[in-house]
Amino acid sequence: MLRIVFTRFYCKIAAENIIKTSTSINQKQIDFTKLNHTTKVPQSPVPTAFPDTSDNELEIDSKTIQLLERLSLVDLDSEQALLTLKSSIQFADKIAHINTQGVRPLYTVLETQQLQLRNDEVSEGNCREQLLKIAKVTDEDYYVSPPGNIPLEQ
Amino acid sequence: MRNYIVVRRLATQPKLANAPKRKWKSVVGLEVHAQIASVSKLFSGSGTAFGAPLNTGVAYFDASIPGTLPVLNRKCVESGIKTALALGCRVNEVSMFDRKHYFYADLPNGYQITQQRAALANNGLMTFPVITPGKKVYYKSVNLLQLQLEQDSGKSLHDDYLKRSLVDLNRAGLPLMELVFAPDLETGEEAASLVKELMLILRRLQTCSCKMEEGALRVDANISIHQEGDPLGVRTEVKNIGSVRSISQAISYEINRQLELVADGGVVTNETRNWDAENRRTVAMRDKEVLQDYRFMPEPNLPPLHLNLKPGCRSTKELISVAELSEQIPELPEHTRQRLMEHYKLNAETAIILVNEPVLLEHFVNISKSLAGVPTKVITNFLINDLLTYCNKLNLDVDDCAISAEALKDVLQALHAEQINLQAARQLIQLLHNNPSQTVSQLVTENNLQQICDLASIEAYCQQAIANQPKAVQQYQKGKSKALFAIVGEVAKLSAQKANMKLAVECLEKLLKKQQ
Repeated sequence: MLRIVFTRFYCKIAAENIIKTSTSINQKQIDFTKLNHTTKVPQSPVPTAFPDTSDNELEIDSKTIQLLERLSLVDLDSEQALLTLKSSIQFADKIAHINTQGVRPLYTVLETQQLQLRNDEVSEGNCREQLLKIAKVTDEDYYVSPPGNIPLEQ
Repeated sequence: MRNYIVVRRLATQPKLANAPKRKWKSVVGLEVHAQIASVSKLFSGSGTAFGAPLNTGVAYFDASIPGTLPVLNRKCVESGIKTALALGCRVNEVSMFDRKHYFYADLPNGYQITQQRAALANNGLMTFPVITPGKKVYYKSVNLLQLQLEQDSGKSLHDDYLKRSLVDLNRAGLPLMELVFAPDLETGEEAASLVKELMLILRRLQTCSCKMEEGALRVDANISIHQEGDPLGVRTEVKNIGSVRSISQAISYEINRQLELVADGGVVTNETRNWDAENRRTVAMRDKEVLQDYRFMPEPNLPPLHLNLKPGCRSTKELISVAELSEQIPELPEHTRQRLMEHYKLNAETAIILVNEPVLLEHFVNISKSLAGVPTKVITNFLINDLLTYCNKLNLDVDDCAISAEALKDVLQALHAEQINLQAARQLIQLLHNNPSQTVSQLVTENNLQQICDLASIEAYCQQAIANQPKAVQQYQKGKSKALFAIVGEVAKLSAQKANMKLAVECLEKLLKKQQ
């Protein structure tokens, strides 16, 4: 399946508040409206004005398919795989039809936050045995992989 | 020559026959990856020691274990800013990280964290002297388009026999500064000079060890050719250039390869080529047959990096102050050259050589400080013509030369006081290098190197020399003043190079006058 990478959102919900409110009631019955810091995820469905693109005609030439196969390492030879790819593209195509003129792109919801910095100290590493143990093929202390990018004339 | 043949071939076509012959121009742009000197990696707390046992400098994050997150190394940001300031860049108040995707076995994440949309710094300018053997030194300026922070990949060893790659992740995640220079260069020598100057600057700032042999500084060159007046040609990228000398060789080779290709009616294709140092040629790589699709996307795990640009501000735990870092920038090489030329009245060439060899510069400053009476010319001549030449002859780095500054000072002092002559001083360099524990005066006495200044002995040598060289004496008497050199040479030989030549010449002239 073609991997669609979603931007991950890290919402900071004050854990303390949840614990405070949940001590008396069961966790399943949390009243979100009473939290000091409410979640940014809407609690009821929000009607969206996205255009329906599921029926749009879609042509993918073989070159593009080859490129996608190479990038995703997914075999798109079968009828089913191709269909899944097409429906994925049709689904994501909604985004392309939204009017974003004059809207500043938001790359992360943490834009105004300070990036945490770490002092230059060695605090990790030296765990070769543990890491090599989970690799499929190893040789001595190396990981082994198929041949990579090498000069043509060799 | 080939161009000429092409023109002749097309000469039947009247339009082309009249077209003026236009000169071919080469255009070179460099991308330099400099490993930031730090003890831990860019986003993880694993060590960075070069040559550590295989796969030991690897934290869970470097091996892309799910659930691990990047945490930026403060020192790397500071080093990047210092370098940017030294190269006259505009440091950006907000910079961001992006993912650049590749499928390489030595890149466990499948992407590299880099800065593409908003880099740490932009718009720098580097001015440096270009040294071409046999030509006059000239200065060249090159724009620095971007300076960005990014991760290094691991290392792969290709096993041709078993058709596999062996992967060591010690290098994966090491901090790099990528410096993207504008294509403002024309030749391999200019490129090599740029890198040399960059290395001097980075070493002064202590932001990179610049050890090319360890891969701490790597240079990729983009090269294209076009005819004067035409837009730029299609470029090729040469990678894997492993030494300063290779830079000019690889670029000159690639320019000539493209010129010959075009002269033979071929077309330059956009490709990546590898520099083969052993056979001194560039070789096409399998990669980039198709245009790479890096699928850049914002790195979701790192919010933007904010910096404090306000003048006079101090750094806090959260926010780095650029103004504070700018106070820590040491004197840069070009400034040192200017200072040497102004303060010590050195010429440009001497200043460039001294600055290129930090040890020589240190010796020079120390010696001229403690030996105020000795002319600077004597000191620089001795350091460059004698010490540096000696080291070059032995193929020795000046850093590895065992002679102390104190010993050099003593040699120069003895030389200036005419206790020894230049031949003895040269001999002393060798003696000192081989016996670093002995003092200069010990060596002079033990090896009997004192200059002979006693007039009676000199006169004896001179008379002997006149007797040995009757032909030269005759020529000299006839007015051929150059013949004196032969007699002086004889004195040097007779005295085992130890006679004071200034006195010997005076004495000879006196004696020869008497004979007439």
